[in-house]
Amino acid sequence: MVAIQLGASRVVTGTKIPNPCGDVNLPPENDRELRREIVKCALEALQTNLSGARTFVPKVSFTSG
Amino acid sequence: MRLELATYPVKQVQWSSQTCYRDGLLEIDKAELLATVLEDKKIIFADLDLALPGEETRIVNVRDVVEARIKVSGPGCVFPGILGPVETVGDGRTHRLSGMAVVVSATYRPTILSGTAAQNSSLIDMWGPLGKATPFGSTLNVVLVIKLLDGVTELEAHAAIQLAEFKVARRLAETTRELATGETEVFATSEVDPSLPRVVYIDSFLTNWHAPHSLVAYYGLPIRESLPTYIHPNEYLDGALTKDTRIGSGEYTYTWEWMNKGIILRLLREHGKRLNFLGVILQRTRFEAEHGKQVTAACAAQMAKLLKAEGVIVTRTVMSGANLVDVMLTVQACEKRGLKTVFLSPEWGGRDGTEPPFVFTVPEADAMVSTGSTDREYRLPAPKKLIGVKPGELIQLYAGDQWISPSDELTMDDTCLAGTTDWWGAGKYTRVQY
Repeated sequence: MVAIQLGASRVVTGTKIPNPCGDVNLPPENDRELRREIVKCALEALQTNLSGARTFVPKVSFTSG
Repeated sequence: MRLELATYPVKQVQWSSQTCYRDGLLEIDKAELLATVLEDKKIIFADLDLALPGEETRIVNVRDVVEARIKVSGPGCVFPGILGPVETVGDGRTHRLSGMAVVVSATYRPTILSGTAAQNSSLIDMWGPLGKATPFGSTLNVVLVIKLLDGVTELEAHAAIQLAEFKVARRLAETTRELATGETEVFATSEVDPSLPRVVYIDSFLTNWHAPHSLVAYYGLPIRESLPTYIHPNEYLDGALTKDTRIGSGEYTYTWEWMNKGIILRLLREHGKRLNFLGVILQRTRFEAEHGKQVTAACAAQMAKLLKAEGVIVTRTVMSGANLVDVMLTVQACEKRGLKTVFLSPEWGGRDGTEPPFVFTVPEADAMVSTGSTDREYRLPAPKKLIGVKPGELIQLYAGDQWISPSDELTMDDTCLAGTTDWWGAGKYTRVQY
């Protein structure tokens, strides 16, 4: 939300503010998988042609809060 | 709930062989008060000093400011859950000493050395530009200077500082217990004309889950990952809301401000005249994922809707982007439910006011009140008297910052100075539209 308002064109939604690319509550192997998905999503975003700002949502689930 | 708040104005403070109050003169037996403070073995040094308006005095290592109040009838005590049992307050009669404040200047050896959970402090000038900008520049300040034993934990440090200042404040207010002459104001939210507009106040504030104390406490209990809570406004007046006394930076809030909250007092005074004040929704903010932000926003707005509110006032504390998002989403959620919502906050904006005031906004936030900019810079002249340090000693406002000499002329941000950031519209700034 904030990134779009500040004018970023390709935004990948992360998890939480203190650790946007991971989830410390997950076991290490699941955390690694989660981080991998987010980075993959970011790489896909870079390869996408845009006509305006867009938010890319990685296919991940994480502990809420 | 019906609270009689009796005011005993203090016009003069002086040291004496007894602690008593008469006709605006507060006499303080320093030795008696210091003995009470030093009952806590975690406090290895304590002293009391006076800082009066207009004097070229600078108080440093400021952790908190509190008003002297005492409950003379009704359930509980002032600062319930800290100075006494957890009993719902806001009923009965409370005495206050007005025009004066107890300021606590404290030092200890911290164990958290960086980050947002680390301790910090601020300073107060009794004259010059800061003396004019802070509410604590025009109060007669009784300054309690304490040093804690090495090896205390962060939470022990908070508890020791808080208990010491609250005990001093209680002892001073105790001098009015037998008096009945104080000017009395009654605060009650009784049944009123049903045609008056129904207004609720959402007191949205930042709390940290990761710090030893979360920043804000209700009946002494630090508020962490809670969802919105509905309370009576009179509870503020009896000190049900308190703070982390390790955190003295001007960006945060002081107990004095929670007890004298302008919005609460004004809404109570207008109740039955211009509006029907329904009460307060305490809202913890700074959720770390969008999910939490959406839930707290929806919950606060739904609570206001269930209370049949027509108008909502929302405020916040701490210049945090994470908390701003939660608050903006709350404004949005209220407006989407048809509740007219006003948001009151200081802004960023940079030194000259040309940078963005907020990092996040919603289109529904169409009625906002600015209480000034926290990016304002102050040039503070050198003081003649320093309280809170020995001559030549340096101070550090935030953990990791450079150490500075408080006896010099200083240039500082608003956020470093006690009481200058106006969260609740009680500040001394004038707004000019241009």
